[in-house]
Amino acid sequence: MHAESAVPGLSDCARPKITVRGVDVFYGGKQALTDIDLDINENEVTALIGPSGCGKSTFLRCLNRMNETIADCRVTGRIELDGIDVTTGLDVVELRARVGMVFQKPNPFPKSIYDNVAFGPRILGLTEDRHEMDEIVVHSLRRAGLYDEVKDRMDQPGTGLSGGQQQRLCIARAIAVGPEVILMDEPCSALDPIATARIEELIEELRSEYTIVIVTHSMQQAARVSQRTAFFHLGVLIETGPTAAIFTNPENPLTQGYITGRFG
Amino acid sequence: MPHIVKSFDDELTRLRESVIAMGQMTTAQFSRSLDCLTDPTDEAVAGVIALDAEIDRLSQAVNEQVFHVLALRSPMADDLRLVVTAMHVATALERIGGYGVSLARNAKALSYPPLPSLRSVVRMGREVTTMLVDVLGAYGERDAARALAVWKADRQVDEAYSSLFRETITYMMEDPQNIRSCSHLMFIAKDIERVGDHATNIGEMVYFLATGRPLGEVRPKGDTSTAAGPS
Ligand SMILES: Nc1ncnc2c1ncn2[C@@H]1O[C@H](COP(=O)(O)OP(=O)(O)OP(=O)(O)O)[C@@H](O)[C@H]1O
Ligand SMILES: [Mg+2]
Repeated sequence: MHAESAVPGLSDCARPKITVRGVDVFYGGKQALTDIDLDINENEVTALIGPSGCGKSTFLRCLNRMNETIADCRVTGRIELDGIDVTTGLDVVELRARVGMVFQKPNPFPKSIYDNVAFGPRILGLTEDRHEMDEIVVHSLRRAGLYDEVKDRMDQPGTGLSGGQQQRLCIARAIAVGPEVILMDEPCSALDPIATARIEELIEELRSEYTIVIVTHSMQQAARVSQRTAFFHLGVLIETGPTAAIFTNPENPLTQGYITGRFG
Repeated sequence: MPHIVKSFDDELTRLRESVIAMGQMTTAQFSRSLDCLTDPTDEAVAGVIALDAEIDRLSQAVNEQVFHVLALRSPMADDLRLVVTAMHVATALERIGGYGVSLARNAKALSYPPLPSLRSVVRMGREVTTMLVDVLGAYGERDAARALAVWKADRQVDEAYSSLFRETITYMMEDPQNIRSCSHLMFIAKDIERVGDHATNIGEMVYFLATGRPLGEVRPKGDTSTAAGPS
């Protein structure tokens, strides 16, 4: 009860953007996730935390059906985006346009900065018009907080940017197709504290327009950027709640043990 | 369960021990300041003042440890509560040390032979000493029930203070000669009552430390003297 009231107004007005019910994931005969139920609220940042191998990336990949690209991987249960089943109700291209992803290692295409951002909109045929495309690219780079740093070298390769810039380029690339949800798998693990702070500031800004799910190994980062935190352990969702409550007074001893650094 | 990083455990243990040591010293000092009420020798008063300096030094040490742990360990959950609570408890104890000094100094201004009310004041002081001992025990054991009991006991202290207030007013009205001594006695009683409040605050913090939930609600206030006079 008190845990909910710790963030007044947050949990009452939040609307689930994604609902996950009874999801199991298997890699061949090995079960990686067991009976996951989770609501991901709109315009909130949800942080997924847990020890290495607990299934965070696997869970994230369920949300945009990236697990389908892995041979042997089987997902059962129900995942809905705005009430529509992502497996049966949406085609995968549309789903991935609505649910974008940013990976742990920045992975710009070996193309110009401009083309990196324009890539998605072109594939999806968002526009044929050069001028409109310019607008999408500039807007996306602005939203990602990168525009000022690259506006004079849009034709240079994206791979020539610094790590932090590359990660923001990847975020711009994800934004360019106008997604509703952005999935981020340890987006700052290769970045220095300044670049990390910029990404975190960006996440906070993006939250008003998007729903964000972020996997992070930094408890401090989860505490700083998210409104809700979900703790996974051995493929099971152990505890979820408002971030402030999870980090000051977790209910489950496993959560407590993990976030305080007491796992034996 | 111990932390994976052992030195973190050591630091938290050291912090807890520093607070407990500070608590023991503060309790001792408060008790000695009560002794001054019945026997205000220069030596006894000086002893109380010297202990206050020692308490301030310990408080400083606790604060340094708190900053160290916050900056270097980024504690979470119950660890975070332990660290933040340590700082609050140390501040409360430091205040109590200050009241001890004020009490001992005022003791020198009491008349001799003492007013009959002095006995009630000393009794009230002993009750508060018990509260302090209990609440610090609760801190050491992270015992929410014991902390709650102290929190509730404060009501009796507030009531004792109110009745004392009425009692001294009667003496002052009987004989204006008593006004000076009665006033000092009331200052002393007020200090004791404030120490009780700080013990109660520590009780709240211990409760939060142990349960993760704030004790909430307004503290039970039995002090009705405010309506009739100075608070
Ligand atoms: N492609 C795969 N094939 C087989 N097993 C896999 C595959 N990907 C993940 N797994 C297994 O599934 C479990 C969950 O892995 P996952 O990558 O989701 O964990 P994680 O929580 O993201 O870990 P980390 O924090 O190390 O990134 C692990 O036991 C892992 O070995
Ligand atoms: Mg992973």
